[in-house]
Amino acid sequence: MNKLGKYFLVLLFVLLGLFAIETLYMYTTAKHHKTIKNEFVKIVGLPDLAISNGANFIRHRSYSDTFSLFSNGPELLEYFPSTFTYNFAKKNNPARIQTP
Amino acid sequence: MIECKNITKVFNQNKRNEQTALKNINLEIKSGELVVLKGASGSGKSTLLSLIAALSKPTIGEMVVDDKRVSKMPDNFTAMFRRQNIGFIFQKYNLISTLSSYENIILPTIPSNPDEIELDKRVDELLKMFDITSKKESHIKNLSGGEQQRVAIARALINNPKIIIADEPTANLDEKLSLEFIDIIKELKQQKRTIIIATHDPLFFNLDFVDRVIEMKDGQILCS
Amino acid sequence: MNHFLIGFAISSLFRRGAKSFFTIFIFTSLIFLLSSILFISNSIKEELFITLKSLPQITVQKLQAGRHTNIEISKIDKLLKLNGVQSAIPRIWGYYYFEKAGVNFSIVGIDSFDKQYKKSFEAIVKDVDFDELYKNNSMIVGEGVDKVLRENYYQGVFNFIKPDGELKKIKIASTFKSATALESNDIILMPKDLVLEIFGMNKNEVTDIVLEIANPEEIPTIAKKIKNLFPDSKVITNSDLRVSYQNIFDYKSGMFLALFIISAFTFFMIVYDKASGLSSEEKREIGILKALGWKIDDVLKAKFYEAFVVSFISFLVGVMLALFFVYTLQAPLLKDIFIGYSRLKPVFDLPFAFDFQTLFLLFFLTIPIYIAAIIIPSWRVASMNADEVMR
Ligand SMILES: Nc1ncnc2c1ncn2[C@@H]1O[C@H](COP(=O)(O)OP(=O)(O)O)[C@@H](O)[C@H]1O
Ligand SMILES: [Mg+2]
Repeated sequence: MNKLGKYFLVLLFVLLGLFAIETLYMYTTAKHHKTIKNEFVKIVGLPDLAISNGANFIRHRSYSDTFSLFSNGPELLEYFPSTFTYNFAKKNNPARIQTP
Repeated sequence: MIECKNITKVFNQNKRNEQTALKNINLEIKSGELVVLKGASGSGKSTLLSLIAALSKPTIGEMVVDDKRVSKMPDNFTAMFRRQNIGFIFQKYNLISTLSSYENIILPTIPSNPDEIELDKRVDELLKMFDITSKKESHIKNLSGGEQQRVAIARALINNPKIIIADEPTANLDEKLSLEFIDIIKELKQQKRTIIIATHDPLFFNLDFVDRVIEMKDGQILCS
Repeated sequence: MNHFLIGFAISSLFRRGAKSFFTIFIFTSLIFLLSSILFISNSIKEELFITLKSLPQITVQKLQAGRHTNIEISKIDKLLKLNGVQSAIPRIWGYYYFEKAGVNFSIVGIDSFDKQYKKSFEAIVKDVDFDELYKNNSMIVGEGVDKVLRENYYQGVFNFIKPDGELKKIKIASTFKSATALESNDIILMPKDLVLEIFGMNKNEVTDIVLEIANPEEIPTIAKKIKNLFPDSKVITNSDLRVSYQNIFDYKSGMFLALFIISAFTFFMIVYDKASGLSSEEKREIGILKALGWKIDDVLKAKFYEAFVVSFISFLVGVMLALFFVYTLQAPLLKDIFIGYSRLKPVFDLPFAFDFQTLFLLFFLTIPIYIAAIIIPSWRVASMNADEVMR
């Protein structure tokens, strides 16, 4: 093989090695706080993460409302996907009803 | 031995720009023979050469090389056939200009995964033979016309083919370089290779080591 | 393995330096974006599933006219009589809308701040002052709540507005540890009596009732029995929650994937088709190789190696950058997409969750497509007549 080819193969292996090292490093240094989190959830008893608290049909969605926006039927639990991704009001203008 | 049997080649058949390049060609070239195809531009020389090298297939007729009916072979077999038997020196050299001389010369050997040491030896031999050792690592675009042609010849010879085909080899060379090319051909002839040269350069017509001059006109052989 | 062919392929990449670089750049960015999103969603999913087993096994709620209403406390006795039900605990919780900041707080009631919780509180609460807590007129809040209150000039206390318009002043005893921020950010924990007062709820009603089941295998049957016993109830089991989580993330990842893959690849294909289709130079090259005795599959092999090297290197680099971006830099900007609806942005660490399945998915969604995009046009050119180079 020509020189370039050899360099490239070396590069490929170096990258693979780096990749392995990176994942291994992250794996070993990962913080999980598993027990603390579980302790907390045991006391509070509510599901879901606090990453959507702008509307009450979103936080604890499976517990809170059968009548939430776009739910397909009363037997279904809330799962509307945009509930995490859709941000319609700015923080500095929280009012839902605009006053002229 | 190369046999052309009743070969007719029609380009763009059944279209308005239909063109009959070769008409009913019958020709036999023996092993070790040096044949010069002569004729005006457009007389069908290149077309005949490409049929012999199995680069294309005749519309009618049959091409037999060393008892192999190359005109009936499927694509992958003609590729093998070319690699093993034919050294083609193209009119425009057809070198890859962004590669070095060395890389160009070894191109025909790559698919057969050669032994690196033997290959290097063979390349060095050829480079020395054509006096371009110093240009081994130069890119083609930095070489002169004569040097480029010698790289093209070295590439044609790398697989040690029995048949050498050259299409208008001296068209882009001055007289001195043309004479040098004739020396190279002479040497190849001494190595008992079959050589076919298509040219309208008068330099070739009166050489003592040329076995036959075949004249072509409008896709037909005039005399031989 | 023909190493001459590999060498030829790699030097071909170098010969087309700028174009190869551009391709690698686009490819790497694409992989980076896609894998970042997958990593973030994996992490959040992991986060949800970590705590799933601590959630109640069965939650019983009451529906009236298709809406939630409070459930009568008297139902507890009937629930306890069902076989397999170990305990039934009434809960009071709900949302308190803090208008000034436009934020919903989740208020959760517990029996009272007494000794039974001491151990748990030591684990999850910052600097607990138990004496203060036991006075039972105080609350524990999440970091986000604390922050919002501070921003609105509430230091250490907060005035809840009761339904009758009266104010209820409650002290902030402590905040939850940051490790729980993702779960606790908007939570306010206080004794049940206070919650009842703030929400103006009837003393013999609760929000829902959670059951503990002795044998987890029986959960579905018990859920069915409860439904028969109280046709107006909504019974949520632990596995319902799991399904709900799974749905959210299947949807989310799927949506993102579909969107990004479609947009990225249309973009990519357009760029590729326009910028690199097969240039006449490349076509001539393939013609020369064929005339020199390369078979079609030799040409395609060389193209394959080229495409593979480009896509594989891009893939590795993209994934590595994404790992670094998501788990070391904590995904600035991109994280906001996932917590977009949040007024109280929780400060949290994305936990490292490495899912090989995701990577395989990404690998097989990108690399073969790219390789095909390279191979197919080359194959078309390579299967043309070899005598084109004569002209
Ligand atoms: N690929 C092709 N398509 C159409 N016509 C062709 C093609 N190749 C050659 N021809 C035509 O065939 C005739 C013979 O061409 P060629 O063999 O190149 O002649 P020469 O090499 O003697 O100059 C010419 O008229 C030319 O235009
Ligand atoms: Mg010609």
